[in-house]
Amino acid sequence: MWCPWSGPFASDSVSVVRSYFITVTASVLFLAVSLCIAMMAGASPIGVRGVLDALFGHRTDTGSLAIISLRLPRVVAGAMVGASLAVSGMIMQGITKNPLAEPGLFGVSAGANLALSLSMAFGANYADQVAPFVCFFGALAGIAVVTAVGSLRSVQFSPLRMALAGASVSVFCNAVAQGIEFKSNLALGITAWLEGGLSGIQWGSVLVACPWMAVGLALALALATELTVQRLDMDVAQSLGQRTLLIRLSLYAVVALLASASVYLAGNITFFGLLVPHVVRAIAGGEDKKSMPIAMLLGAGLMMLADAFARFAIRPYELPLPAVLAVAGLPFFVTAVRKMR
Amino acid sequence: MRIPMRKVPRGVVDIACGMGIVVTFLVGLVAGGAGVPLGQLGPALIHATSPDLEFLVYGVRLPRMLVAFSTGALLSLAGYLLQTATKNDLADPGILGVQSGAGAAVAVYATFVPISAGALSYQLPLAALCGSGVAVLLMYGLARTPSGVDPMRALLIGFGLSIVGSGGMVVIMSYASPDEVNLITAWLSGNIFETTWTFAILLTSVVLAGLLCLSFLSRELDLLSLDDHAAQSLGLHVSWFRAAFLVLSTVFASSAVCAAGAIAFIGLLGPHLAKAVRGPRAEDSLVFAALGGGWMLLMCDMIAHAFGLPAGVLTGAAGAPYLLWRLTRSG
Repeated sequence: MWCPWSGPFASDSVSVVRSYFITVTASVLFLAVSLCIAMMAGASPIGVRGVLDALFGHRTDTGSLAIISLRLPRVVAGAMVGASLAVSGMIMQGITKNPLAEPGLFGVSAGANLALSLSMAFGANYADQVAPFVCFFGALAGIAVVTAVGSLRSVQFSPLRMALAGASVSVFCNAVAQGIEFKSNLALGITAWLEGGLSGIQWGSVLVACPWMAVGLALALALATELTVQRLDMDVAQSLGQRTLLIRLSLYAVVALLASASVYLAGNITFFGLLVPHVVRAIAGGEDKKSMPIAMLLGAGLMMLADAFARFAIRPYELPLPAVLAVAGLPFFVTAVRKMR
Repeated sequence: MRIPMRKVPRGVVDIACGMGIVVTFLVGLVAGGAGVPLGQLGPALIHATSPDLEFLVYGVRLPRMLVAFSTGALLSLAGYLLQTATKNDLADPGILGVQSGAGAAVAVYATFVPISAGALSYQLPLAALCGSGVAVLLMYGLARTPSGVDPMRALLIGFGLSIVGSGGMVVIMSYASPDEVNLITAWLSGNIFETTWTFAILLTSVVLAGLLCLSFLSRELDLLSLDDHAAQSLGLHVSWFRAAFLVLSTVFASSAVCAAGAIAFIGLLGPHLAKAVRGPRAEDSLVFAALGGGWMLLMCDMIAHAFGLPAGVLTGAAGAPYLLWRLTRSG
């Protein structure tokens, strides 16, 4: 079927719509299955029946209370963090045209981390309302530094070199943060938190961070079409009528929003924001308006699964989620690096 | 990058650098939590003063400084060899994941194999050596493509490996008992913690043996930094020597890890300083690289120790901007 405005931005032939529908359904199913697994797995595995009873049965036994006050916030946080990291990785890869871009590798998470350590050294408490703001500005600073380095006129940065520059910004921020933590006797607490992933998370911090992430995800969806235009050359995007600088800045703000709230909830997670967009591109194509919801669903599901594994593998103890994800993400990272010229 | 030092006679540079190291040692011995009067320093070193002072200078500070200095020298040599063998100007055992490979192996060993106090001295270093060897092989194998080993790609894969290595270490630690966790975290944090005389002498002799060994191989090192075909046609068995230098480099790096855990960037900064001052030839710059690396880590340890920090924090905070700056230059 020919239509004058068909092209990369609007393809509405029946088969495309149908295959997209199938992809969405599969992703929703995946999310539902991961949700069930994540609710059931843990130090004490609980069956479907028990979970449903706890959620809807107004029960007051210990098992049900544990599900409502320990497992549910953790699962919600996992889903939100997964969706946020996936989307922020996708946006960063789109803007920088660098398949290795993601908040963990490019200094965004490390900036948030550093800001958080600084604020805690000066007496702030990370469970309060200020911490996400602090993280947000730290993440923005991280983005600003990496972008400034990347836009130096003196060198033509290859994607590999750019990724290394981001990595060295991360290393620097982490070293300074570590120093501050040692100085202010916070090392044990902050390290346990940043390396510990979602363990010990409670409704309080979930409710603080989730509005940030919800706003970020909504903004990302609203800007999805613009992101596809950003993937083009700057002058092409401009000639399509986009106010490129404004859009780019707002996309960066969305990334900072999502990544900082993720750091606040789950600590330093690398490779996840790299992994999900690559999978999504393979199954849903490069049109962001369509692939971004898939990225959210898959990211949320994968993160819940990973966290369930971290809780379940050596129960009653836990594996640290960031470490599990780093080990699991390495093959994707290496493949992505090897693919580049 | 060359500092224009051609005008200055080489002897003058040597003497100045030697003086710098001696002065640093003196300052390190005199200054600290409890000051030692400069006049008392000499007597303390030859056992001719109060037992307190002697213990402080001879039993605490001097071995620690020697360990820091030799660790720095080892890291710098390891970096030098890595840079030459992988033809990668920015290689560093810390960035390339060699150290975290060693750390992960130590964590595995300490957790799953019962350690006796007597065997500690050789079992853990051996585990560290195996771990760093595996890390180098992985890095090299994963970064290798039909068109050769691209420096940036190797660095990035090494960086990924180092993230995974430290992640793996944390995973293994969740299986470990509190005592083992303490042992492993001591390795993780990049602190100079082995400060006995035995260890100081051991490390210093590794440095000296390494330098001696390398002094016979300086021509091969120079040839290896050429294009592979050119080196071959000049009579060098390229793959053999590359493997040999990589092995030596992992030996140096893992001995350094045994003394101080993960300390990044000394292996990058030391050789760069040496080549900037003495030129790229191994014969000229190798000893200087060892001394320079040792001096840098000694300084870092002194400063960090004064603020109650691990030295690794300081080298990370100083080295990462340098790496960033090098990345913004072409080449």
